[in-house]
Amino acid sequence: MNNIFTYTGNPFVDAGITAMLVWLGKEKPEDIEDYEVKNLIDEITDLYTKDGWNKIMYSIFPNSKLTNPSVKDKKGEYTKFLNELLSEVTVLGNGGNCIACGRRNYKRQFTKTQVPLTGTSDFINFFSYGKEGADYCSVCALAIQFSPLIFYKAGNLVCLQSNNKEAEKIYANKCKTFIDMQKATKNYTGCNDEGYTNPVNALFHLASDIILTYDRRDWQKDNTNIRLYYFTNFNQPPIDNLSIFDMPDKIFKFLAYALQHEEKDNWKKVIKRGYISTKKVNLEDEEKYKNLRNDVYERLLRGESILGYFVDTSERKTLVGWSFLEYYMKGVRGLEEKRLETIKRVSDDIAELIKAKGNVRRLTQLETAKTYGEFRNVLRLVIKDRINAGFERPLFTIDEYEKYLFPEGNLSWKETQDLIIFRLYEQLHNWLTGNEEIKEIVIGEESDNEIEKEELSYE
Amino acid sequence: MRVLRVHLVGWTASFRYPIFVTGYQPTLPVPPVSTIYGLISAAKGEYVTPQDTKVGYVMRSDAKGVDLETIYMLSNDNSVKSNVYKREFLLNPDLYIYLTNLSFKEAFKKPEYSLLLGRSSDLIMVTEIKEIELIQKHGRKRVGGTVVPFCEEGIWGPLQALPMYFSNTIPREVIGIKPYYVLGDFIEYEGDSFLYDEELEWGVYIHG
Ligand SMILES: [Zn+2]
Repeated sequence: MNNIFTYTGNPFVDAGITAMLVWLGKEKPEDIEDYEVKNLIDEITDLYTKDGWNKIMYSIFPNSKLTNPSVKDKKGEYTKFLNELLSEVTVLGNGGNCIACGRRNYKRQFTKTQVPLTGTSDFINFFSYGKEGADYCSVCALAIQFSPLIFYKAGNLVCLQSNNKEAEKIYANKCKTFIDMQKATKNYTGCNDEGYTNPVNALFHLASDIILTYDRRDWQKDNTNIRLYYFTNFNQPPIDNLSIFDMPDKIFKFLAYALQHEEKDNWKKVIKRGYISTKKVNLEDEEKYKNLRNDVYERLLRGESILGYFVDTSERKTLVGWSFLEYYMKGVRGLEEKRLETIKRVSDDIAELIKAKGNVRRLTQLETAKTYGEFRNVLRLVIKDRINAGFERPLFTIDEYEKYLFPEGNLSWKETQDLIIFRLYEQLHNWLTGNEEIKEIVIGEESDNEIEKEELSYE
Repeated sequence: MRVLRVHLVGWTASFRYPIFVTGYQPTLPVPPVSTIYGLISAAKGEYVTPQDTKVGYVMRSDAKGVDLETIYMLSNDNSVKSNVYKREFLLNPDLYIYLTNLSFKEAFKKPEYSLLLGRSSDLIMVTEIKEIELIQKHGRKRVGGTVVPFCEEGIWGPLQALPMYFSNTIPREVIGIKPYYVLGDFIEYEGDSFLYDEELEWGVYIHG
């Protein structure tokens, strides 16, 4: 009998289905046969009753046959429960009131003992019509029992979900390898645990792992978002027993781009600059910092800019190349191609002028401008310089100014400033550091805080 | 397609994940379809289902916050305990619903029951009722602020099993549960499964 499983959108049911697919080497949920599930039941009852795993079951299925101290034959009792569910299996129908698949009716209610985060019978006013639990059909409840196979431990537990079922399978395969290793060495330690306790870092680690496992794969073709349900279902859970972390597809694609790019080592340097710590951390030793909060990761998830991490202002240099920045600005920040092109061309013209005139002061003025008005005024001075130096082409047209340099005026000026500075550092860094005469000017500049006031007046 | 477009705004909204009964109660970024049918039923003062009107909707909000609230837990032995929950809520919900049945105009002009987006404190009000034309616009369009059935080509986002509507029987049962992409943010979509609201410049997915 097949056509009993299908993806439901319920994270625990789908995780269980993905685990079964990987353990059985199948492609589609609909291909799983009930007799194959029977074989897997032996595997999980065996595993879940091993010490290292049984400990974890207290925060997945509390008070269950697996964890209740009054149950003497844990394996036998849990097997019996699973076989009961299996005996109630029916094929997918056209409708039903199961809150996961909606394709079959429920036979009984389930609580947090069998389905994580579902509450107990002390919550009857939280369930539809005062029932003593949630309405899952036996097939969905059975699928959930397999989900711990692919939970990840990061302090609390992680249930990973993706719209891209291939990405889910790549992740699940890693979990299977991990468990196969436990079986081979007879060292049962529970769900995969790589020492992460910070869920955001764990999310980036898991996504990176998925990307790098299939290095040849073209992730840019798919839209892959990754969601982590970070939870504990312990008997007396803390109030923050559930958080949801989303990596949108554009961040996933950017990560894939960064990790498969020739500049991937530079990207890693950017990441390392993002770790927040009050004391000095040895960035050679990952174990020392991997659970520190990382501002680059957190900004990416919050949808904020990480442009500042791409430049080292103290050394006036960039950590990544323009094309890398370009991908980030377009793919993640949604910047228009034409805008980037214009900013790049204008910056190159400014760099040319600074080099020709040896005028490092203009760079300093661009760097230190604090308002839109100030920044605009420095650009005006650059235009004057260019005319004096005999450059014929204008720095930019009115059209370029309004449409591409500062399309939202005050709102977007800072981003434009950051991008111009980025490009200037990229173009000028060698010139600034390789030329003794310029070096002296630069040092002079830094001690000279007096910027000519009249020159910076607004028009 | 001629539709009725109703614009509703409020201060707060919250949409419980149907599967979680736990100390931390997250909110979905947009309502499930069943909430929209609930809302229309409240306006009409009668039980409304997809047989009465098809619906589309686009919802946005400014931010997400977390509130602490006291809850009362009722046990099957009739004892009641109070506890504290953390509940997420959305700030400044802004919802456009599209109804294919134009006769609901009167119901939204003078709603029978109070209109809510979540719990009884999440009141919303009608700010505009308008008949408009949704057109078929080929090529790229912005879509979001809604849910779309899983496997719809060209759509992606976090997945969730959500109901379409509820029965009005005792006990009430969920009807039409299926996996949906939950589009909190807008994405660029190329296909033809969405109609287009020219005035608001976004695609509208019609459910039902
Ligand atoms: Zn089901």
